[in-house]
Amino acid sequence: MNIIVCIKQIINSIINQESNNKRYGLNPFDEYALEESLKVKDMLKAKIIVITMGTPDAEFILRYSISKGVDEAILLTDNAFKGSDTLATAYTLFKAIKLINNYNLILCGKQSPNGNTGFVGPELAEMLNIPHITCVKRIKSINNTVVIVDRLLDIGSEVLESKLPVLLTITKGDNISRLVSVKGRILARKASIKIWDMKFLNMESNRTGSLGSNTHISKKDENNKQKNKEIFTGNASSIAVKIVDKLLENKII
Amino acid sequence: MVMNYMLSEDEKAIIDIAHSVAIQKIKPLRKYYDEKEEFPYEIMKEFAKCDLCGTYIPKQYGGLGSGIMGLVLLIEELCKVDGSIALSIAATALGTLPIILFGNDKQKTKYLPDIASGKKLAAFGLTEAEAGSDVCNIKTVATKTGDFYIIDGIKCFITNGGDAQIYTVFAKTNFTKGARGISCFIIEKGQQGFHFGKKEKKMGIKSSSTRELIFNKCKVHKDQRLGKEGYGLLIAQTTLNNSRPGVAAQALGIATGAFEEAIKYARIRKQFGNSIISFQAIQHMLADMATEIEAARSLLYTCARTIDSKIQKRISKESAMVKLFCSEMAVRVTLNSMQILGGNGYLRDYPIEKMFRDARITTLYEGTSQIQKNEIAANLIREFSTK
Ligand SMILES: Cc1cc2nc3c(=O)[nH]c(=O)nc-3n(C[C@H](O)[C@@H](O)[C@H](O)COP(=O)(O)OP(=O)(O)OC[C@H]3O[C@@H](n4cnc5c(N)ncnc54)[C@H](O)[C@@H]3O)c2cc1C
Ligand SMILES: Cc1cc2nc3c(=O)[nH]c(=O)nc-3n(C[C@H](O)[C@H](O)[C@H](O)COP(=O)(O)OP(=O)(O)OC[C@H]3O[C@@H](n4cnc5c(N)ncnc54)[C@H](O)[C@@H]3O)c2cc1C
Repeated sequence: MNIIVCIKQIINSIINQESNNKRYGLNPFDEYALEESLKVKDMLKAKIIVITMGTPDAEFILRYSISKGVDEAILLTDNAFKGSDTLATAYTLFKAIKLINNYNLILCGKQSPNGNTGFVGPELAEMLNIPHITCVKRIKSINNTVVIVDRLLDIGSEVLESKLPVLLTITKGDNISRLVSVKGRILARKASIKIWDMKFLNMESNRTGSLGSNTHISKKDENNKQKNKEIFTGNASSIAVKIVDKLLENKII
Repeated sequence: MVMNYMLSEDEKAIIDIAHSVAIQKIKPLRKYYDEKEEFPYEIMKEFAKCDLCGTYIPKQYGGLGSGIMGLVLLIEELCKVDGSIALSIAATALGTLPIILFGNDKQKTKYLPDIASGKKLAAFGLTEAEAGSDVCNIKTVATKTGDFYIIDGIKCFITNGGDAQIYTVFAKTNFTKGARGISCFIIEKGQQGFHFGKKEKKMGIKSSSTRELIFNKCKVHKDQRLGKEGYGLLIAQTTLNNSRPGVAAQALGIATGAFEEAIKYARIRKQFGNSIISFQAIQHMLADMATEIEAARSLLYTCARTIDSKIQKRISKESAMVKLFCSEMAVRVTLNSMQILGGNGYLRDYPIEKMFRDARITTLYEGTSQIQKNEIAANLIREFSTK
């Protein structure tokens, strides 16, 4: 069984437990995807490859993945990849996966907290011409031809079955990331990371980066966050009372 | 901040991983295990998954090959959070060191990989009711009959007793030879004639089990003997010289954990309109604690490195000094931490009273503080008699 997991470095909203790098972290949904792939490897003979497209310092999320038990890591990095939207990102990942060629299962995170589109996985599956299932919270069973998954719905969940190869996008389920072992940590430090650039991927420059992107950010409204901000002052216990009152008033609790 | 001890990358990895297990897996449950006095099997599984069971076991037998230093760093880090749960590993090391130091290749191959992987725990059976400090006074007997020994007697106070699978046990093979009449055997749980007695109720280290080992015509093959017949006392002493830094690390870890609780508390607790950390009396207590802790750590790491380097033939004096200093220091530091927390320090809602209870054992087992002083003094007398 060959598994490819696509992971993405994010600027931290949630600081990952293991990274020494405070500013950057691994997309938490990719953490779930990674754990699902490792659970498959616990059950049957599998090789896991992680790939990320990003800047050179994204290397640490690859080493982190190796410390958890991943076998191989590839960093897609090139100045030309800068400014990729979801389509260009998916295309770049697609070219890399074409080069790897040998896969039965591809896992992505359901979404990422900064881009938040959830597009990359499905786009990638379309390009590879394989089926995909989004919002998977658990791989229930898998063999060399078929996978059965639990897919999260607004209310409850559904059980779906797919032939392999298939792409799954993973959300939170019973997949809290395992702890890193000492041997894993030592291995990760010494592991060699493959670095592939645009030339290596044999890509047309108008299919990646901002040139390859159909969507462009024309305006950003940073003030959005500030809108409903209210600062409470006083000592801790009086602030606590004010916060609770406010939450009650807005029917949040 | 800990001083920079120029640790290797592998050593830093041990500390990092131990830290995440301690914080994520042990901390939420330390109170539970202390109050229930339950053996922490679930946490043992985490230790195994994270490769923390064989830091000191040579690489060719599945360990990390990080020596006594690897053991010390692990135990210290775990004990910052809980001084009791880590003992299952420290006591396993104590039971395993005789095999590492004196086992033949067949014995090492048979036992070490399962210990390194965390599949099995070990224990060390020396103490008896009438032989605590006076180890030569053991009454357990191993009578040779053909290829076998028949073992009879009762060991007491054995850490991991009942929960370990592998026991290194000391017994008399010759009552007329005194110190030269003791031999060491590897005995497995489940062997006919080997049973466990009552589980002791203790002041601290409550998640660690302490039981009697009862041998009643227990038949052990001679291949299970470690080293030569009559070399048991040497095996015990050499083992303790290597293992005492482990107890010292336990003490150091507990002291560091208590100190951190104390300084955090001193920063936020206000009296007379100020944080209590602004009072010089508190500051001086903290300064003394921090100084003693760092002195203990320096002595401990130096001793562990010296043992691993094998450059020094005799290490019994330094090993005793480390155990003596770290354990007595831990008792002082946990007591003073309790003082800084005031009444809260005495409550079971705060971790300090447990840290004190756990620290207290370190001046007692693997030789009391008095016995360490005897050892140090005996070395001094020997050294100065030749000058
Ligand atoms: C309209 C729009 C315009 C954008 N324009 C720009 C721009 O101009 N410049 C810019 O830098 N960014 C831009 N982005 C950022 C955009 O988020 C992508 O670059 C991003 O990599 C993928 O989008 P996402 O975070 O929504 O991923 P999602 O689809 O939410 O992510 C799902 C999963 O896809 C996989 N994945 C996503 N990205 C990667 C990656 N890089 N490597 C490996 N796997 C990955 C992961 O498994 C991830 O969990 C734009 C986004 C949008 C929506
Ligand atoms: C929780 C716990 C776990 C233990 N785990 C193990 C284990 O895993 N394996 C094992 O073999 N043993 C174990 N022990 C036993 C431990 O090592 C002994 O309790 C210890 O060596 C002291 O022996 P004792 O209790 O018989 O005290 P005693 O020897 O009776 O000592 C009583 C007092 O007399 C003092 N004293 C004795 N002799 C001298 C002397 N010559 N000079 C000055 N003072 C002296 C001692 O310092 C002490 O203060 C454990 C004990 C406990 C409590």
